[in-house]
Amino acid sequence: MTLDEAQALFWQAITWPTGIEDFWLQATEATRLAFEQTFAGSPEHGARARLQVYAEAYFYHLAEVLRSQFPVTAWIAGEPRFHNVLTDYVLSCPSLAPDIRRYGSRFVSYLAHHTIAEHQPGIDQVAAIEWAIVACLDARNQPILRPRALAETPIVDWPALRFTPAEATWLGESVLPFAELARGQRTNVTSPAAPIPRLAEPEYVLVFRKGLDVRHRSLSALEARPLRVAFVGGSLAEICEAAAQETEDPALSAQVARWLEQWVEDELFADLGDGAGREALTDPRPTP
Amino acid sequence: MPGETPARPYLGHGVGLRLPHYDLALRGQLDVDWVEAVSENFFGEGGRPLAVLEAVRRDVPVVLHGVSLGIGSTVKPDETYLGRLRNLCDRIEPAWVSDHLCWSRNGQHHAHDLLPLPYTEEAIALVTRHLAIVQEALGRRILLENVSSYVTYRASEMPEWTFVSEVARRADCLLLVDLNNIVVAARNFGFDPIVYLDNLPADRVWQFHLANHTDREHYKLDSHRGPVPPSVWQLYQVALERFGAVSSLIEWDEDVPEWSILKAERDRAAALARTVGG
Repeated sequence: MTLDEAQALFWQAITWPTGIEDFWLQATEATRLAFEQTFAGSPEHGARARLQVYAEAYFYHLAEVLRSQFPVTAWIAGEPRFHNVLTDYVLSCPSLAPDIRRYGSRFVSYLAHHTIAEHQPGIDQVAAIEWAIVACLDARNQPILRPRALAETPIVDWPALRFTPAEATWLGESVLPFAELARGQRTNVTSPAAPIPRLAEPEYVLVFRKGLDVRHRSLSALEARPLRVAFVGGSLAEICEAAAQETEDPALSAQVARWLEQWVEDELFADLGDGAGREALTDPRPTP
Repeated sequence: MPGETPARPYLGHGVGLRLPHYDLALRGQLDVDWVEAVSENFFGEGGRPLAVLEAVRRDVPVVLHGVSLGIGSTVKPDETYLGRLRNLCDRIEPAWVSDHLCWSRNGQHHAHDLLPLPYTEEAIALVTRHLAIVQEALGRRILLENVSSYVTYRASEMPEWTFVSEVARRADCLLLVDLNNIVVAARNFGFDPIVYLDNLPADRVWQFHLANHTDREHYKLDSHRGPVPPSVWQLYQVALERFGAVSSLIEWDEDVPEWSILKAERDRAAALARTVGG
């Protein structure tokens, strides 16, 4: 048997959906013979039991990284339901990335089409928020729009100002109350016994990186819609128009100004591009 | 690059950089001689992980230790992967780069585990070819680590230490000797760990790993959970006597303890090295 064939057999055995013994039971005579001629064991610890060590490690390495990256999703799903989802995912989606932390990159879309999404509508949206938190953690550093750069922009140019979202920024919506669920998960409240009802109106969730810390917060629809316009490159005038569609509040201009101040404070936008306020690509200073 | 083996640098005694200690790292409070960072954990383009690694690098030497190269996989080394590693090397300027003498990829899929190779001429030839690609891409010799293993191949033609030594000689690479992995393999396959050490090329041994394992019913599992056990400390002493001053590193990956406990393990390694070294 060549090295290539030996590795293919090893891989087939350790990734078998139900373990080495099932692999053995369902293998052809030729495969069993190849297995016996390839792997060696000892009387007290046979070759199949030895490969089972690798089979367990294969599954648990992948499953554990998902558990650590999707804690709220896991909490909502409960056990053994989440374990079953993980098992299905590991079987369907082998890892394509050398960095195991990227293994969850297809998990959100996988969940959306899994039966668990029928049991718990919106669970894929919760997973999307958690994946955004993972992705923002080490997204590219870039010059960030600072209040000073905004202040230095002539007021006459403001209506035409357009913003670029920082790469470590994400805005999505959820029919489940993410912030409340995250609190439940953090405080070790028992997983919900029944599916969580959908919110009457979706909750908007903003994920962003401020300094080195990834944060998230819920937004009102009033704030989320103009921010979405900002994220797709709308001008400040168009952002104000989007806000105006939500309210007839005469103090709207002041409100938009406060939001803009907060968005800049939260480091949601890349620098305007003229170099003003540009900072080092990696800020080496520790967070205070 | 090929030719005389370069003189072994000595970094002292370090620990593996792990998430629970990132804040300490950012505050410049990792009071050890050097740290080893898992290369792939820093393949992102920014944010906290890179900031941590750069902060550490300003204070102490850093070694980049990969887990996904899979040098013995029958597919060629991934050029994208090597490019990322090269970029990280350019950014961090590590003291050296290491990975494992194992396979881990099947086609485009990653096992995220260190799978054992048969100890054959065919495997040596494959690893040697792949190492030439890797060392060329990185512009440096790398260290390869012996792995813990739980199964052997009937096709093996030589003991593990001969395989490791031959790969190092033919590929002109260096060695990271994981003493815990030797203890684990010695139990799992019934050999004398001293014989293993006695048959390694001393001039190519640049680093030791010290870690714990877990005793299962019929085998030892390389768990990296808990303090270094007596059997590994004993082998470390023998290794120091055999190889002289070699940089050591404590690996503790599961239930990572508070810094003072990890540091105490590192201090013990340093004290033993002083005792043996005189």
